Formats: sequence, C-alpha cells, structure tokens
Amino acid sequence: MTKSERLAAVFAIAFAIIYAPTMDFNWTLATYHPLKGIWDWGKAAPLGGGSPAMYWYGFVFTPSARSSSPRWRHSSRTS
Amino acid sequence: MALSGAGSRTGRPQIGRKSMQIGWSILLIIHGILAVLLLGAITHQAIAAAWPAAKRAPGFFNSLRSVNGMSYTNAVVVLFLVTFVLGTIIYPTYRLNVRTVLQEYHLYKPEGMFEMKEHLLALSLALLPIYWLLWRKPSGDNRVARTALTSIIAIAVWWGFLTGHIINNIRGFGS
Repeated sequence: MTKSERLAAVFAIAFAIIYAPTMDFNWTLATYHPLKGIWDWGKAAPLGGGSPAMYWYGFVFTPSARSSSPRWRHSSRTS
Repeated sequence: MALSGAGSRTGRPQIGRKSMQIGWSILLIIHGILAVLLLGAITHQAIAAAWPAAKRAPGFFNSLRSVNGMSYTNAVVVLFLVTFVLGTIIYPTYRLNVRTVLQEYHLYKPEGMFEMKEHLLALSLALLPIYWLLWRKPSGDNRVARTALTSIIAIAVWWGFLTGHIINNIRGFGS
C-alpha cells in the first residue's frame, strides 16, 4: 500500500467512526437555518417562527475536519 | 387603476415564488439525470469488478461483465461529487416543503429512508479518495478491497436514487 492509499483508508475509516457519535451527540460543526438562510457555528436551536435548524451539513463537516487532523495521519504512518 | 396597481403589487411575490419553484424543479431534474448517469457507471463497474468475465463473449451479461472498470472511475468520482453538491443545494427545499408534509401524513418510512440516504452518501463521500486510488492502479492484491468499495458505493447510490424517486413520487414537481 502506498502512503496516499494508507492516508485515504485511514481517512475513510476515521470518518465513519466519528460520524456515528457526531450524529448521536449532535456534535455538529455548523447549523443552517433554511428559512432565513443563516449559518451558525456549532449546534444552534431553531430560530422560531417555523424555521427549522438543519444539522446534517455540520454532521459532514465535523468528521471531515476531525479525520483530516494530524493525529489520525500520524496513526496511519505508525501502523 | 388603483385596483390594477394593487393587483400587480400582490402578484409580484407570487411570480417570484413561481420562478423559484421552477428553478428548484430544474435543479432537481438535473440532480436526477446526473444520478441516473452515476447509477449506470457505478453499476457497470461493480458488476465488472465482482463478477468479471474470463474472456469476451457475445450476449448482454457477458458484455456487462467484461467492461473495463478502470474507465469508469473518474466519471464516477466527478458524477458523485456534482450530484452530491446539487443534492446539498436542494436539500433545504426538501427540509422545508417535503419533510414537514411527510411528518404531517405520518409517512415515517420514506422519511427514514431519506435519513439513511443522507448517511450512506456522506459515508460514501469519505470512501471516494481510497476508491479512486485503488482503481488508479488496480492489481490482484487490491481486487477484494476494490470490489468491496465499489459495491458499497453502488449500494449507497442505488439507495439514494430509489429514495429520491419515492420521495419525488410522494411530493414532487409543482405540488
């Protein structure tokens, strides 16, 4: 396996591992309010007035950011 | 005169809403067409990887099995990314106009299918780099991994396509 293949494999596995608790504990990196078109950092409550809060975008951002972090990359080098 | 003036004032937001609806519908159609192309490409590749033909022979299934999987890789990656991005753009419209209706009518199964679609496609997105790298230099050593990854992505794409189709049947264009 080449280094880039190892990194890509670690990224995919780390993404899947982080994605599940991110959803369960709502560790969203961002919240989108579609009715107002507003983005908030982290978990934000719905704005009211029938405007829902969308967390899924944040669910994708959180594991993307965390699985790209140097700690995971280091583990791919040592494995 | 005053009446027609008032009419045009109230009509303008309706025209704006109508053109917005047409715009979302066009994006949804493009999203659907790209999904069909992606479905075709990934299905051909998955079948060729999982059930390769020993030698070229006539017939539909033999032709399907003997396609060169490598030639689909870049198309799959590009189609997946573009379809995914388009999906994320039209997602708020689903959240506001469709999901609320599904909940009102207690249509929890299609709603749950859509939740699964989100998760399967997000996980498939993370598989794309390793998928691309393995298909770039296919060998006997990585055949099992390539086949497994391609099959997982193919299942996710099929799930996403069928779910989108069902949701569109429940509450689609202009409803």
